[in-house]
Amino acid sequence: MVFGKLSVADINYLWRGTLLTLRLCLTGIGLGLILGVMFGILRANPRRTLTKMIATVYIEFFRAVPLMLLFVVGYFGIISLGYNVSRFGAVVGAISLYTGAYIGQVVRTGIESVGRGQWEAGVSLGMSYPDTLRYVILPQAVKIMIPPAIGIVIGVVKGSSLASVVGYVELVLAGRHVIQRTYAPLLVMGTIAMIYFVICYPLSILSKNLERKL
Amino acid sequence: MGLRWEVPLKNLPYLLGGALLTLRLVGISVVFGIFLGIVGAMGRTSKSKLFHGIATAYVELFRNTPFLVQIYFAYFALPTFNIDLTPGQSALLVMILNTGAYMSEIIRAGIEAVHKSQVESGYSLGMSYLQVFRYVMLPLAMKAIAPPLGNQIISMTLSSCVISQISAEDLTFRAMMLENRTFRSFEIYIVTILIYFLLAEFLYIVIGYINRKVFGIAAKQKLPTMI
Repeated sequence: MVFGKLSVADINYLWRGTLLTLRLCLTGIGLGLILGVMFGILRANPRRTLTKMIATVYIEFFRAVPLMLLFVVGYFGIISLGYNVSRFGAVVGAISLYTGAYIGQVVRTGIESVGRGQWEAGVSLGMSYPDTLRYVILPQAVKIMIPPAIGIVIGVVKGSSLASVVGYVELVLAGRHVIQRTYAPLLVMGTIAMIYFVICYPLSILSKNLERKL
Repeated sequence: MGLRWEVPLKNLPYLLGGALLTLRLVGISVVFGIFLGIVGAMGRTSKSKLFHGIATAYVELFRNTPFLVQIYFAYFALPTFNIDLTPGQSALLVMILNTGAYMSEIIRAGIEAVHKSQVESGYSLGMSYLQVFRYVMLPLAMKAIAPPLGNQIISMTLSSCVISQISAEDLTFRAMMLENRTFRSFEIYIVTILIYFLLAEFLYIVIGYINRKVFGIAAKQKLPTMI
Protein backbone atom coordinates (compact mmCIF):
# COMPACT_ATOMS: atom_id res chain seq x y z
CA MET A 1 0.00 0.00 0.00
CA VAL A 2 1.88 2.98 -1.26
CA PHE A 3 -0.80 5.56 -0.65
CA GLY A 4 -2.54 4.27 2.47
CA LYS A 5 -6.11 5.10 3.29
CA LEU A 6 -7.88 7.86 5.18
CA SER A 7 -10.94 7.15 7.28
CA VAL A 8 -13.88 9.55 7.55
CA ALA A 9 -12.60 10.59 10.97
CA ASP A 10 -9.21 11.46 9.48
CA ILE A 11 -10.79 13.55 6.76
CA ASN A 12 -12.95 15.34 9.33
CA TYR A 13 -9.85 16.01 11.39
CA LEU A 14 -8.07 17.54 8.39
CA TRP A 15 -11.17 19.60 7.62
CA ARG A 16 -11.21 20.91 11.18
CA GLY A 17 -7.53 21.80 10.75
CA THR A 18 -8.34 23.69 7.55
CA LEU A 19 -11.03 25.68 9.36
CA LEU A 20 -8.63 26.52 12.18
CA THR A 21 -6.03 27.63 9.61
CA LEU A 22 -8.63 29.89 8.02
CA ARG A 23 -9.72 31.24 11.41
CA LEU A 24 -6.11 32.01 12.31
CA CYS A 25 -5.48 33.68 8.94
CA LEU A 26 -8.62 35.79 8.98
CA THR A 27 -8.01 36.98 12.54
CA GLY A 28 -4.37 37.70 11.77
CA ILE A 29 -5.20 39.54 8.57
CA GLY A 30 -7.97 41.54 10.28
CA LEU A 31 -5.76 42.69 13.15
CA GLY A 32 -2.79 43.06 10.80
CA LEU A 33 -4.80 45.38 8.57
CA ILE A 34 -5.64 47.61 11.52
CA LEU A 35 -2.00 47.72 12.65
CA GLY A 36 -0.71 48.07 9.10
CA VAL A 37 -2.97 50.95 8.08
CA MET A 38 -2.23 52.74 11.33
CA PHE A 39 1.56 52.38 11.20
CA GLY A 40 1.70 52.77 7.42
CA ILE A 41 -0.01 56.16 7.63
CA LEU A 42 2.20 57.21 10.53
CA ARG A 43 5.28 56.23 8.57
CA ALA A 44 4.20 58.03 5.41
CA ASN A 45 4.14 61.32 7.33
CA PRO A 46 6.62 63.60 5.54
CA ARG A 47 7.61 65.30 8.80
CA ARG A 48 10.02 63.65 11.23
CA THR A 49 7.81 62.94 14.17
CA LEU A 50 8.21 60.55 17.07
CA THR A 51 5.29 58.46 15.82
CA LYS A 52 6.96 58.15 12.44
CA MET A 53 10.11 56.86 14.10
CA ILE A 54 8.16 54.31 16.11
CA ALA A 55 6.30 53.18 12.99
CA THR A 56 9.58 52.88 11.06
CA VAL A 57 11.22 50.78 13.76
CA TYR A 58 8.14 48.55 14.01
CA ILE A 59 7.85 47.98 10.27
CA GLU A 60 11.55 47.46 9.64
CA PHE A 61 12.01 45.13 12.60
CA PHE A 62 9.13 42.76 11.99
CA ARG A 63 9.92 42.52 8.30
CA ALA A 64 13.44 41.32 9.05
CA VAL A 65 12.74 38.48 11.50
CA PRO A 66 11.46 34.95 10.90
CA LEU A 67 7.76 34.38 11.60
CA MET A 68 8.40 30.96 13.08
CA LEU A 69 10.57 32.43 15.82
CA LEU A 70 7.91 35.03 16.60
CA PHE A 71 5.51 32.15 17.22
CA VAL A 72 8.10 30.39 19.37
CA VAL A 73 8.87 33.47 21.48
CA GLY A 74 5.20 34.42 21.67
CA TYR A 75 4.24 31.04 23.10
CA PHE A 76 7.19 29.10 24.58
CA GLY A 77 9.11 32.26 25.43
CA ILE A 78 6.26 33.92 27.29
CA ILE A 79 5.35 30.70 29.09
CA SER A 80 8.97 30.23 30.23
CA LEU A 81 8.67 33.63 31.91
CA GLY A 82 5.85 32.23 34.01
CA TYR A 83 2.95 33.95 32.27
CA ASN A 84 -0.02 32.01 31.02
CA VAL A 85 -0.98 32.51 27.39
CA SER A 86 -3.31 30.49 25.23
CA ARG A 87 -1.85 28.98 22.07
CA PHE A 88 -4.36 30.80 19.92
CA GLY A 89 -3.67 34.11 21.64
CA ALA A 90 0.10 33.81 21.23
CA VAL A 91 -0.15 32.71 17.63
CA VAL A 92 -2.65 35.41 16.67
CA GLY A 93 -0.57 38.07 18.40
CA ALA A 94 2.58 37.05 16.52
CA ILE A 95 0.96 36.73 13.12
CA SER A 96 -0.88 40.06 13.52
CA LEU A 97 2.29 41.95 14.38
CA TYR A 98 4.07 40.30 11.46
CA THR A 99 1.26 40.96 8.97
CA GLY A 100 0.86 44.51 10.27
CA ALA A 101 4.47 45.30 9.40
CA TYR A 102 4.11 44.05 5.82
CA ILE A 103 0.75 45.78 5.33
CA GLY A 104 2.26 48.92 6.84
CA GLN A 105 4.99 48.90 4.22
CA VAL A 106 2.42 48.47 1.44
CA VAL A 107 0.28 51.31 2.81
CA ARG A 108 3.30 53.56 3.08
CA THR A 109 4.53 52.76 -0.45
CA GLY A 110 1.00 53.28 -1.77
CA ILE A 111 0.67 56.69 -0.13
CA GLU A 112 4.12 57.79 -1.27
CA SER A 113 3.44 56.70 -4.85
CA VAL A 114 0.70 59.32 -5.21
CA GLY A 115 2.24 62.35 -6.85
CA ARG A 116 3.32 65.47 -4.98
CA GLY A 117 0.92 67.54 -7.00
CA GLN A 118 -2.03 65.85 -5.34
CA TRP A 119 -0.74 66.85 -1.89
CA GLU A 120 -0.23 70.41 -3.07
CA ALA A 121 -3.70 70.46 -4.60
CA GLY A 122 -5.17 69.45 -1.25
CA VAL A 123 -3.16 72.05 0.65
CA SER A 124 -4.01 74.80 -1.81
CA LEU A 125 -7.70 74.06 -1.21
CA GLY A 126 -7.04 74.79 2.45
CA MET A 127 -7.34 71.17 3.53
CA SER A 128 -5.47 69.92 6.59
CA TYR A 129 -2.97 67.03 6.41
CA PRO A 130 -5.48 64.40 7.66
CA ASP A 131 -8.17 65.72 5.32
CA THR A 132 -5.88 65.65 2.28
CA LEU A 133 -4.82 62.13 3.20
CA ARG A 134 -8.37 60.94 3.70
CA TYR A 135 -10.10 62.61 0.74
CA VAL A 136 -7.36 63.04 -1.87
CA ILE A 137 -4.49 60.62 -1.35
CA LEU A 138 -5.98 57.41 0.08
CA PRO A 139 -8.70 56.95 -2.57
CA GLN A 140 -5.97 56.98 -5.22
CA ALA A 141 -3.48 54.97 -3.18
CA VAL A 142 -5.83 52.08 -2.35
CA LYS A 143 -5.83 50.90 -5.96
CA ILE A 144 -2.04 50.60 -5.89
CA MET A 145 -2.08 48.84 -2.52
CA ILE A 146 -4.46 46.01 -3.37
CA PRO A 147 -2.25 43.70 -5.52
CA PRO A 148 0.69 43.62 -3.05
CA ALA A 149 -1.79 43.31 -0.17
CA ILE A 150 -3.18 40.16 -1.76
CA GLY A 151 0.38 38.88 -2.01
CA ILE A 152 0.66 39.41 1.73
CA VAL A 153 -2.57 37.51 2.33
CA ILE A 154 -1.02 34.58 0.45
CA GLY A 155 2.08 34.89 2.62
CA VAL A 156 -0.06 34.85 5.76
CA VAL A 157 -1.93 31.73 4.66
CA LYS A 158 1.36 29.97 4.00
CA GLY A 159 3.00 31.40 7.11
CA SER A 160 0.15 30.26 9.33
CA SER A 161 1.44 26.71 8.79
CA LEU A 162 4.32 27.64 11.11
CA ALA A 163 1.87 27.89 14.03
CA SER A 164 2.10 24.08 14.10
CA VAL A 165 5.56 24.53 15.59
CA VAL A 166 4.09 25.72 18.91
CA GLY A 167 1.40 23.05 18.89
CA TYR A 168 -1.53 24.99 17.48
CA VAL A 169 -3.49 22.27 15.66
CA GLU A 170 -4.01 23.95 12.32
CA LEU A 171 -3.88 22.12 9.00
CA VAL A 172 -0.24 21.03 9.07
CA LEU A 173 -0.22 19.76 12.66
CA ALA A 174 -3.57 18.07 12.06
CA GLY A 175 -1.91 16.40 9.10
CA ARG A 176 1.01 15.22 11.20
CA HIS A 177 -1.43 13.70 13.71
CA VAL A 178 -3.23 11.90 10.89
CA ILE A 179 0.13 10.62 9.57
CA GLN A 180 0.88 9.15 12.98
CA ARG A 181 -2.49 7.33 12.94
CA THR A 182 -2.51 6.12 9.34
CA TYR A 183 1.11 6.08 8.32
CA ALA A 184 0.25 7.57 4.92
CA PRO A 185 2.64 10.53 4.72
CA LEU A 186 2.48 10.84 0.95
CA LEU A 187 -1.30 10.98 0.79
CA VAL A 188 -1.69 13.30 3.78
CA MET A 189 1.10 15.74 2.90
CA GLY A 190 -0.02 15.73 -0.73
CA THR A 191 -3.58 16.54 0.32
CA ILE A 192 -2.42 19.33 2.59
CA ALA A 193 -0.24 20.83 -0.11
CA MET A 194 -3.24 20.76 -2.46
CA ILE A 195 -5.49 22.47 0.12
CA TYR A 196 -2.99 25.31 0.47
CA PHE A 197 -2.62 25.46 -3.30
CA VAL A 198 -6.39 25.71 -3.78
CA ILE A 199 -6.50 28.66 -1.36
CA CYS A 200 -3.39 30.48 -2.61
CA TYR A 201 -3.37 29.96 -6.36
CA PRO A 202 -6.63 31.81 -7.15
CA LEU A 203 -5.44 34.66 -4.94
CA SER A 204 -2.14 34.88 -6.81
CA ILE A 205 -3.96 34.98 -10.14
CA LEU A 206 -6.29 37.69 -8.83
CA SER A 207 -3.30 39.72 -7.65
CA LYS A 208 -1.58 39.35 -11.01
CA ASN A 209 -4.70 40.43 -12.95
CA LEU A 210 -5.31 43.46 -10.74
CA GLU A 211 -1.68 44.45 -11.14
CA ARG A 212 -1.95 44.24 -14.91
CA LYS A 213 -5.01 46.50 -14.85
CA LEU A 214 -3.18 49.30 -13.04
CA MET B 1 11.08 35.61 37.51
CA GLY B 2 14.45 37.05 36.61
CA LEU B 3 15.80 37.00 33.12
CA ARG B 4 19.15 35.34 32.60
CA TRP B 5 20.61 36.90 29.50
CA GLU B 6 24.01 35.38 30.28
CA VAL B 7 22.68 31.99 29.06
CA PRO B 8 22.45 32.95 25.37
CA LEU B 9 25.31 35.44 25.63
CA LYS B 10 27.74 32.87 27.02
CA ASN B 11 26.75 30.58 24.15
CA LEU B 12 26.93 33.29 21.52
CA PRO B 13 29.82 31.62 19.60
CA TYR B 14 27.73 28.46 19.35
CA LEU B 15 24.75 30.44 18.02
CA LEU B 16 26.87 32.50 15.63
CA GLY B 17 28.32 29.25 14.31
CA GLY B 18 24.72 28.30 13.58
CA ALA B 19 24.26 31.58 11.74
CA LEU B 20 27.20 30.61 9.53
CA LEU B 21 25.55 27.25 8.84
CA THR B 22 22.39 29.12 7.85
CA LEU B 23 24.36 31.44 5.57
CA ARG B 24 26.14 28.48 3.98
CA LEU B 25 22.85 26.72 3.25
CA VAL B 26 21.39 29.92 1.82
CA GLY B 27 24.51 30.47 -0.29
CA ILE B 28 24.36 26.99 -1.79
CA SER B 29 20.63 27.20 -2.45
CA VAL B 30 20.98 30.63 -4.05
CA VAL B 31 23.66 29.41 -6.47
CA PHE B 32 21.65 26.36 -7.54
CA GLY B 33 18.39 28.30 -7.26
CA ILE B 34 19.59 30.86 -9.81
CA PHE B 35 20.44 28.08 -12.27
CA LEU B 36 17.05 26.52 -11.68
CA GLY B 37 15.45 29.94 -11.95
CA ILE B 38 17.05 30.56 -15.35
CA VAL B 39 15.85 27.18 -16.62
CA GLY B 40 12.39 27.83 -15.14
CA ALA B 41 12.20 31.29 -16.71
CA MET B 42 13.23 29.84 -20.08
CA GLY B 43 10.40 27.33 -19.70
CA ARG B 44 7.90 30.01 -18.73
CA THR B 45 8.77 32.09 -21.79
CA SER B 46 9.23 29.10 -24.12
CA LYS B 47 6.92 28.40 -27.03
CA SER B 48 7.15 24.63 -26.46
CA LYS B 49 3.91 23.67 -24.68
CA LEU B 50 5.47 20.79 -22.75
CA PHE B 51 8.41 22.81 -21.43
CA HIS B 52 6.09 25.71 -20.60
CA GLY B 53 3.64 23.42 -18.81
CA ILE B 54 6.30 21.72 -16.68
CA ALA B 55 7.91 25.03 -15.74
CA THR B 56 4.56 26.63 -14.86
CA ALA B 57 3.47 23.64 -12.74
CA TYR B 58 6.79 23.70 -10.90
CA VAL B 59 6.77 27.44 -10.25
CA GLU B 60 3.12 27.70 -9.18
CA LEU B 61 3.26 24.58 -7.01
CA PHE B 62 6.24 25.82 -5.05
CA ARG B 63 5.03 29.40 -4.80
CA ASN B 64 1.57 28.54 -3.57
CA THR B 65 2.29 25.97 -0.87
CA PRO B 66 3.98 26.62 2.48
CA PHE B 67 7.70 26.03 2.81
CA LEU B 68 7.05 23.91 5.90
CA VAL B 69 4.75 21.58 3.94
CA GLN B 70 7.41 21.23 1.24
CA ILE B 71 9.99 20.37 3.89
CA TYR B 72 7.71 17.80 5.51
CA PHE B 73 6.88 16.37 2.11
CA ALA B 74 10.54 15.85 1.29
CA TYR B 75 11.32 14.39 4.68
CA PHE B 76 8.24 12.27 5.46
CA ALA B 77 6.68 11.49 2.07
CA LEU B 78 9.66 10.95 -0.23
CA PRO B 79 10.74 7.76 1.63
CA THR B 80 7.53 6.24 0.18
CA PHE B 81 9.39 6.25 -3.14
CA ASN B 82 12.47 4.78 -1.47
CA ILE B 83 14.17 8.16 -1.58
CA ASP B 84 15.70 8.40 1.86
CA LEU B 85 17.35 11.75 2.47
CA THR B 86 19.02 12.92 5.64
CA PRO B 87 17.48 16.00 7.29
CA GLY B 88 20.28 18.14 5.86
CA GLN B 89 19.78 16.79 2.34
CA SER B 90 15.99 17.23 2.44
CA ALA B 91 16.40 20.75 3.74
CA LEU B 92 18.87 21.73 1.05
CA LEU B 93 16.83 20.08 -1.71
CA VAL B 94 13.66 21.95 -0.74
CA MET B 95 15.51 25.23 -0.23
CA ILE B 96 16.96 24.97 -3.75
CA LEU B 97 13.63 24.02 -5.34
CA ASN B 98 11.76 26.71 -3.43
CA THR B 99 14.24 29.49 -4.23
CA GLY B 100 14.39 28.28 -7.82
CA ALA B 101 10.63 28.72 -8.19
CA TYR B 102 10.68 32.28 -6.85
CA MET B 103 13.72 33.15 -8.95
CA SER B 104 12.06 31.76 -12.09
CA GLU B 105 9.27 34.24 -11.59
CA ILE B 106 11.68 37.12 -10.94
CA ILE B 107 13.83 36.29 -13.97
CA ARG B 108 10.76 35.77 -16.16
CA ALA B 109 9.40 39.19 -15.21
CA GLY B 110 12.83 40.66 -15.97
CA ILE B 111 13.18 39.15 -19.43
CA GLU B 112 9.59 39.97 -20.34
CA ALA B 113 10.47 43.59 -19.66
CA VAL B 114 13.18 43.42 -22.37
CA HIS B 115 11.94 45.16 -25.47
CA LYS B 116 10.85 42.88 -28.30
CA SER B 117 12.97 44.69 -30.88
CA GLN B 118 16.11 43.78 -28.95
CA VAL B 119 15.23 40.10 -29.12
CA GLU B 120 14.36 40.32 -32.79
CA SER B 121 17.62 42.03 -33.64
CA GLY B 122 19.36 39.12 -31.94
CA TYR B 123 17.54 36.63 -34.13
CA SER B 124 18.17 38.68 -37.24
CA LEU B 125 21.89 38.44 -36.49
CA GLY B 126 21.50 34.69 -36.83
CA MET B 127 21.63 33.90 -33.09
CA SER B 128 19.91 30.80 -31.76
CA TYR B 129 17.32 30.99 -28.98
CA LEU B 130 19.95 30.06 -26.39
CA GLN B 131 22.33 32.70 -27.69
CA VAL B 132 19.62 35.36 -27.68
CA PHE B 133 18.72 34.34 -24.15
CA ARG B 134 22.30 34.39 -22.94
CA TYR B 135 23.67 37.46 -24.78
CA VAL B 136 20.62 39.68 -25.26
CA MET B 137 17.83 38.97 -22.79
CA LEU B 138 19.77 38.18 -19.59
CA PRO B 139 22.18 41.15 -19.65
CA LEU B 140 19.39 43.59 -20.46
CA ALA B 141 17.11 42.08 -17.84
CA MET B 142 19.74 42.11 -15.10
CA LYS B 143 18.82 45.61 -13.92
CA ALA B 144 15.21 44.62 -13.41
CA ILE B 145 16.16 41.28 -11.89
CA ALA B 146 18.83 42.27 -9.36
CA PRO B 147 16.74 44.12 -6.72
CA PRO B 148 13.96 41.51 -6.32
CA LEU B 149 16.60 38.79 -6.47
CA GLY B 150 18.31 40.38 -3.49
CA ASN B 151 15.03 40.56 -1.59
CA GLN B 152 14.45 36.91 -2.36
CA ILE B 153 17.82 36.00 -0.88
CA ILE B 154 16.97 37.88 2.31
CA SER B 155 13.55 36.30 2.71
CA MET B 156 15.10 32.89 2.05
CA THR B 157 17.56 33.51 4.87
CA LEU B 158 14.72 34.33 7.25
CA SER B 159 12.43 31.50 6.27
CA SER B 160 15.25 28.95 6.24
CA CYS B 161 14.78 28.65 10.03
CA VAL B 162 11.91 26.29 9.22
CA ILE B 163 14.36 23.51 8.32
CA SER B 164 15.12 23.11 12.03
CA GLN B 165 11.74 21.37 12.24
CA ILE B 166 13.17 18.27 10.59
CA SER B 167 16.30 18.70 12.74
CA ALA B 168 18.56 20.01 10.00
CA GLU B 169 21.30 21.95 11.74
CA ASP B 170 21.11 25.73 11.42
CA LEU B 171 20.89 28.74 13.72
CA THR B 172 17.39 27.92 14.96
CA PHE B 173 18.28 24.27 15.51
CA ARG B 174 21.20 25.32 17.68
CA ALA B 175 18.91 27.66 19.60
CA MET B 176 16.56 24.72 20.18
CA MET B 177 19.46 22.56 21.43
CA LEU B 178 20.51 25.31 23.80
CA GLU B 179 16.95 25.67 25.02
CA ASN B 180 16.71 21.93 25.67
CA ARG B 181 19.74 22.16 27.94
CA THR B 182 18.91 25.36 29.77
CA PHE B 183 15.11 25.95 29.51
CA ARG B 184 15.65 29.69 29.03
CA SER B 185 13.34 29.90 26.00
CA PHE B 186 12.62 33.61 26.12
CA GLU B 187 16.19 34.87 26.37
CA ILE B 188 17.56 32.37 23.85
CA TYR B 189 14.94 32.97 21.19
CA ILE B 190 15.04 36.76 21.57
CA VAL B 191 18.79 36.65 20.97
CA THR B 192 18.23 34.29 18.02
CA ILE B 193 15.66 36.64 16.52
CA LEU B 194 18.14 39.51 16.90
CA ILE B 195 20.82 37.47 15.12
CA TYR B 196 18.40 36.86 12.23
CA PHE B 197 17.59 40.57 12.18
CA LEU B 198 21.27 41.50 11.99
CA LEU B 199 21.82 38.84 9.34
CA ALA B 200 19.02 40.31 7.24
CA GLU B 201 20.31 43.87 7.66
CA PHE B 202 23.85 42.73 6.82
CA LEU B 203 22.66 41.03 3.63
CA TYR B 204 20.58 44.08 2.80
CA ILE B 205 23.64 46.31 2.98
CA VAL B 206 25.85 43.90 1.01
CA ILE B 207 23.23 43.37 -1.69
CA GLY B 208 22.52 47.09 -1.91
CA TYR B 209 26.26 47.70 -2.37
CA ILE B 210 26.48 45.09 -5.15
CA ASN B 211 23.39 46.53 -6.84
CA ARG B 212 24.91 50.00 -6.82
CA LYS B 213 28.43 49.06 -7.88
CA VAL B 214 27.73 46.28 -10.38
CA PHE B 215 24.34 47.14 -11.80
CA GLY B 216 24.32 50.87 -11.18
CA ILE B 217 20.98 50.69 -9.41
CA ALA B 218 20.24 53.47 -6.94
CA ALA B 219 19.45 52.37 -3.40
CA LYS B 220 15.75 51.70 -3.22
CA GLN B 221 13.49 50.98 -0.33
CA LYS B 222 12.96 47.36 0.52
CA LEU B 223 10.17 45.69 -1.37
CA PRO B 224 7.79 43.51 0.58
CA THR B 225 8.52 39.85 0.00
CA MET B 226 7.13 37.00 1.95
CA ILE B 227 7.44 33.25 1.72
